[in-house]
Amino acid sequence: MKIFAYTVILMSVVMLSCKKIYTPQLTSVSTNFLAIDGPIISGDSTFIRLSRTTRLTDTTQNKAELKAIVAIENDQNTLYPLTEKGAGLYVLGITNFDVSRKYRLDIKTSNGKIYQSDFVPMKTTGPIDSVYFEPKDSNHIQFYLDAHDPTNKTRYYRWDYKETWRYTSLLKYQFYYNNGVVSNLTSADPDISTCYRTALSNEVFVGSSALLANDVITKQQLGGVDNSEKIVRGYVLQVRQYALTKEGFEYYQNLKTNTEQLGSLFDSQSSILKGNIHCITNPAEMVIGFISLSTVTSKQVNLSYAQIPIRFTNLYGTLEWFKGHFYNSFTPFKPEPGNCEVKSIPELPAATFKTRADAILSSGNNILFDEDLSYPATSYTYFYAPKECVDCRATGGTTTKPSYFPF
Amino acid sequence: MKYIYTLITSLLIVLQTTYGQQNPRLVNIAFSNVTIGKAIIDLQAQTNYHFYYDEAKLDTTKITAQGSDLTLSVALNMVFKTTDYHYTIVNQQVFISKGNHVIEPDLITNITPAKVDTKTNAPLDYTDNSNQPVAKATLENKVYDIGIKSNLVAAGRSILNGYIYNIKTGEPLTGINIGRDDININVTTDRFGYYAITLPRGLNVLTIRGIGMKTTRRQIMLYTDGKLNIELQEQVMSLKEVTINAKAINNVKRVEMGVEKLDIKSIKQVPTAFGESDVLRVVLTLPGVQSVGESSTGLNVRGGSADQNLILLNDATIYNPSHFFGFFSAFDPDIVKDVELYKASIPERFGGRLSSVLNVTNREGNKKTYTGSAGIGLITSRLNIEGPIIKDKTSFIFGGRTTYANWLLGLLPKEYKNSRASFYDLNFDVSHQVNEKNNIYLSVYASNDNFRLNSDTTYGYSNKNISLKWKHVFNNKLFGLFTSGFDKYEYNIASSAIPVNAYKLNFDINQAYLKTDFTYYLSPKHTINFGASSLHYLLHPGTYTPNDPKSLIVPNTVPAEQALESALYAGDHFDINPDFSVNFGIRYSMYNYLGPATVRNYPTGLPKTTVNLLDSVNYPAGKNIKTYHGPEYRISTRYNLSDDFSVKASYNTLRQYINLLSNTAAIAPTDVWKLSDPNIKPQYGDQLSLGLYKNLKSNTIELSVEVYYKHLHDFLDFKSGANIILNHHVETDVIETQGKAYGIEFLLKKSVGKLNGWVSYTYSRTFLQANDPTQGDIINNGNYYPANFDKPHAFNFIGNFRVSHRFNASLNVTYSTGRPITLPVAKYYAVGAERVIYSDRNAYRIPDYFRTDLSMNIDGNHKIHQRFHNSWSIGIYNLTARQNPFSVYYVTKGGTVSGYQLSIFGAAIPFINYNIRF
Repeated sequence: MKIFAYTVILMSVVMLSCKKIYTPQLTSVSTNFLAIDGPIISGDSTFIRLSRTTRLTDTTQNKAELKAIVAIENDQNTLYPLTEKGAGLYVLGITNFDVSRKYRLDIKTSNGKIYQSDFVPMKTTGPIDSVYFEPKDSNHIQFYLDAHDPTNKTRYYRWDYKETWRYTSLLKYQFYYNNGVVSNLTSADPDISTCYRTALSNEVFVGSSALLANDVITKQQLGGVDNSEKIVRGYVLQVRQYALTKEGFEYYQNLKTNTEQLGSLFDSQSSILKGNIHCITNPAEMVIGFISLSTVTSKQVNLSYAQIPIRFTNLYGTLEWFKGHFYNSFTPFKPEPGNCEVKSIPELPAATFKTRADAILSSGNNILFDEDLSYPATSYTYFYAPKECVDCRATGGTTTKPSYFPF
Repeated sequence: MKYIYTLITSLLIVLQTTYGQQNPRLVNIAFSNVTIGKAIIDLQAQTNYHFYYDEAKLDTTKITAQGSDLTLSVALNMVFKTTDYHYTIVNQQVFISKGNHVIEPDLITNITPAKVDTKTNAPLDYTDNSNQPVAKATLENKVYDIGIKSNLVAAGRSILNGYIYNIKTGEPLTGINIGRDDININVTTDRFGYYAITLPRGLNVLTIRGIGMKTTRRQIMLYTDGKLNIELQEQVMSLKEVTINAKAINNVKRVEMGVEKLDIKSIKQVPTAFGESDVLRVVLTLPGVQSVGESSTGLNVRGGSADQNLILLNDATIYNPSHFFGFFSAFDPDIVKDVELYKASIPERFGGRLSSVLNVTNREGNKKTYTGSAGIGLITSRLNIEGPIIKDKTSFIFGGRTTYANWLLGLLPKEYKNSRASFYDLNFDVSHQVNEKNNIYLSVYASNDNFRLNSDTTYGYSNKNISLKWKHVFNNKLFGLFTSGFDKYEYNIASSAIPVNAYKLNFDINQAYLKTDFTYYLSPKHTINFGASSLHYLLHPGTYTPNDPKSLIVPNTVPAEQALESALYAGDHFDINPDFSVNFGIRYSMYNYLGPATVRNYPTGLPKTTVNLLDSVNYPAGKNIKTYHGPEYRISTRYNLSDDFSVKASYNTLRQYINLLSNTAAIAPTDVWKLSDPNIKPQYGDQLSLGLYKNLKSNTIELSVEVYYKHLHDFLDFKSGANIILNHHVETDVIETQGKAYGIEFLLKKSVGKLNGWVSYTYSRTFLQANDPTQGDIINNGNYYPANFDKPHAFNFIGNFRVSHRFNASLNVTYSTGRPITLPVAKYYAVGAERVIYSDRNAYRIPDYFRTDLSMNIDGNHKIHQRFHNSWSIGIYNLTARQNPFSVYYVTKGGTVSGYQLSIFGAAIPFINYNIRF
């Protein structure tokens, strides 16, 4: 609800305010509470993540809870066991749940404790009408969503999304080195200059039409994308929509308030989040999480660079020092001198070429990618650069194009 | 030589020579209501003495005296005993003088009868005849006869009353001390400039003192009860301050404790952010007053929450005394006369809030001439005009402020470039003197704030107040005040950026009240206050409506609430002896929650939740649904250990029937007020305080130590994840908590001299507890936890140094412990990111607060008769540019958790202000 937005805007009143990183001295209590994340989805695979709370100072992001027995149970004691996929993920394949039944989640952890959620209804999620974007300012694109449920039953919504984008390495991979031999890249060889990457949303997006006459969601704000490599060579946003109960909506709304919407003049009192999962063996134990169950609807929006009204400035200007070399056009990030410093290996003397090349390239940290033909053949050189400047996979992508990627 | 002078001016002598015997002769007298002239002639006839006196100046005083075989001096003593005539016998000559100027015998020989001036005016006769105007006593050396004259002034006491005015503006002066130092009878004028003092009949020399006013004396001959109005002159400049305020009403002598009074002059000396003189900011520097942070003018007085202060402006309740979301206070410094903060002894005439009363009083307009002032500052510009409507009887004062703070928003990131902020406040007061016994005061106030973000959502809030007061003096001993008024506070939020979702949310409080306050000067030892009040509340807790034809918003109205809060009170100020005084007051308050309303019933002993709802009952309009009532005790006592050292104790109980629902540390403008109802009990609190008061250097330095212990009952807190807005059943989202607060406050104050100001140190704690399982949530396992504003150590220095008549500098140093804050205990992974969980409330503190401000006030020249007087004020707020944290928080961004600290004024802020007076 927009009513609460004032907390955000009042940050702006802080005209002479300043924000800086601060690390208070916190007492180091070890909590180790069980946290359960993930909705049960009807008509699609269900992923339930079990993890443990860690100290704020810990570097572990996700302390997975392994070897638990997890199952979904309906109010007629029918069990749908989940299988452990590692890293704390427990999965149930595509399953259709009955809208007239109620379901709960049962967990038995490896230390013998039993956890159970309240019974929750199966909610049917209305369709997403559209996902669209607007430039928010010269550097940012904002995505919005419209939805409506003709049956007026969804009312409380949650969204998450997956972003997929294509990107290229800074330097084009045209020659490759193998055991003392430099060869021209052919179409049969894998192209490590073009990659695809995905990322999942990491914000809580909830909305409600409870105050409206019809079950309509208009211009719901989702995430955005910055002026970055994400938008240059094709970007796909896949939004998933889940119906929530009122209690589920309030849980996620509070989660958002408590963990994302702080730092204004009128911060809400930080409060304990009360989910719907309890420890049966020790009722006093704190359990974190809320289980909800609904069908899911989704919408994909494809974004090509041509559609985007914002443009990078000074894109090529910063690449002056690459003169004479191949680089990927529209390379979005600014190469920092030294970061992608191109060095050369002279071809001659041929007898020592392999030794010299191996010394540089065998570790895999540097990749030979090009040759320099601008000199007489007697002074031919090959160029190499740090791996991350040549191999796009080094920054986390894959060269396999996803089936849903249209560009 | 001055006796010569007095002889020829105020003493009246006619030379009559008679020759007679040298030996003293005994006389017989048998006067019964004879005039003094006759008495003198009779005595002269019986003796061979020469009597020197001015026959024309003998007044109508009647003499009754009997005796035989008396020496002349005994006879004269009897005759003149209760009059203000004096005699001196030298060499068979009797000099009769009037007033308290006794002729020294050795001066007599120097008198040349021919030079005696006999044309001096006779004193006027001021009687208690209210059909005649009460003349103003302006001369120090004149003796004013009060009451019905008689030489036989009966033993005992009579009451003198009247008003004290500023001679220049005609404005009644508050807090002026009048009385007799020698016999320790002193009173102070009230907020209307009115005083009533019981004095021994006969000659009295009254001393009249007040801060900023020239100390003066008046001589009165008190026969019976009577009136005397006095005009005082302002002290022009106080560079060489030597006034000894030996009897000025001070901390030591006052029975009340925990009362702080600030006049606008000292408020204006304190530097503030952007140089805007700010009443509430200065109040915040007083011991025992805290706030959650720099952006908030919400006062936390002795452990009370910000809604537990009754904030009054000329009797009108101001629900939101702030502008710009709490950065500035909504009182116009050009109009305000003074501010009183009652934090311990709350007079029985006040009620309805638990922690304190902040009584802001506006000036009365100038009754003599039209004047005004204007100011230009970084945030606001101000205009003030005042003047007589009927000279010396009726005056008005108008003050307005408006902001042009939009430039501030220009400093924001450009996504806020379409944001707008504006506020204004207006005051208009009229005071009219109908006659000696009747005064009427009209006071109108309005303040308004609007804020718009990016032409999307707009926020607005406003106060509107009007009050009419009639002061009637029934007789010398009794006067009454009849006040009626209407207060309104409202806010609204509106959005129309997305037509489908366009909405408007309104909230308002309306209160109409009627109250009477009487003061009865029963006897010199007893002053009785009594009265009654009735206050009708009408709240619209939330009205949510579409704000666009296309809007799909379903109108949603939380039903209006209404209630009646009434009280009867009586109190006695009892001076048991000159050293020991007691104020005993009792206020009986009654609260009726009225229909129409739907009341939901919940089973006892179970948490109030929608699941546990038993049923709901509809009550018709006007039906008394629930009554809460009870006595409130207001007792304070003072014992003088010596003339400048006293000990005081007080005990107070209070009840509060309207509660602010706030889920944020700082009061947000969108917080909702809620009346007590069958499901939400009124708040109740009591406080015990003890204090020691010592004055040094002829009362120019005040020292005090006060300790207090306080209980708070049924203070509302929220359940986790509570929803306040448009909640039709608030009782399911709140819990009643109990609180305790204690502290010790040290204050050193110097109010006069080149260097003036105060230093205070306070150690105070405030704890809350929610341990009732039937309420639902238990916070911190039911243990006491520190309140948001629990700042144990607080130190303030407010100083002003007057370098010259035209230049003074102020320094302000503030230190306090950081406020408590809830920090996360652990993190975990959910919804694609690291998240934190919170456990114990307020277990940590933000770093300590420290700030220094400096300002310089430069006045133009002080020629009194120039058309315009101007002044500059320049300074720096937060001189050390320390980044004092307002909050410390952890937030999830980009998938990970980071801790931040937020500072509001994280830089040194220079400011400049220009003021002009005309």
